[in-house]
Amino acid sequence: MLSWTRTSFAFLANGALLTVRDLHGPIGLAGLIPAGLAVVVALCTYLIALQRQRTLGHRPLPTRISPRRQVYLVGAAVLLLILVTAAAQPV
Amino acid sequence: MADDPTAGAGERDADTAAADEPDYRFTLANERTFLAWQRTALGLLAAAVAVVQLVPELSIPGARHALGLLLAVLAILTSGMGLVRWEQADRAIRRGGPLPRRPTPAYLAVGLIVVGLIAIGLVIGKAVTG
Repeated sequence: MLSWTRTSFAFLANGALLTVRDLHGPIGLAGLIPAGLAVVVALCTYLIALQRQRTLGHRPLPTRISPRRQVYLVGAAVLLLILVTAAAQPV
Repeated sequence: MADDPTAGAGERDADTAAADEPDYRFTLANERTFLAWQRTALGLLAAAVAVVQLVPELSIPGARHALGLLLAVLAILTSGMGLVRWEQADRAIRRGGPLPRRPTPAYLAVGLIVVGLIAIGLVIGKAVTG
């Protein structure tokens, strides 16, 4: 739960950094996309954290607890955020 | 009364599934390691944004963007490596085989050293040229 929450916070911190960057100059909608994406992914990651906490809190422990879908989702989200952020940078 | 052969089938399936699943502690440790790799990638992404957006112009034109690009590439590789390592470790845990012995932490360390040396060179260059 703590690891997922920390990951969610890392997404949020990136979103905050991207927002600060955007606020330094004229605010364009395209420039806010990476920040918005970071916030959305942070929220989804936190929801995954809550789901994992619920799953791991069952007694007896469920037979299958491997978070395969969640892992692929977060991995894809990180890669997408990096690509979107890179594309939004001024040349 | 004859025993119903299907009565215990559900229980036997559950027992088989439980026997096939690895120790939950290994699964959780693998999950935590994966998340650590992703947080490292996000840290590198934040560094890339900070270098491009917040660092003043350096002595070499375009150096900030090159450094930011290098950090972004390192972030992508770190995230990808984390995902691949999770998959390989999960497969090894389920099959009872040895864990993958890829030197991916060494690759990351080398990348960070390269970025650090470039940054130091740029700062020194900026200080010298004024």
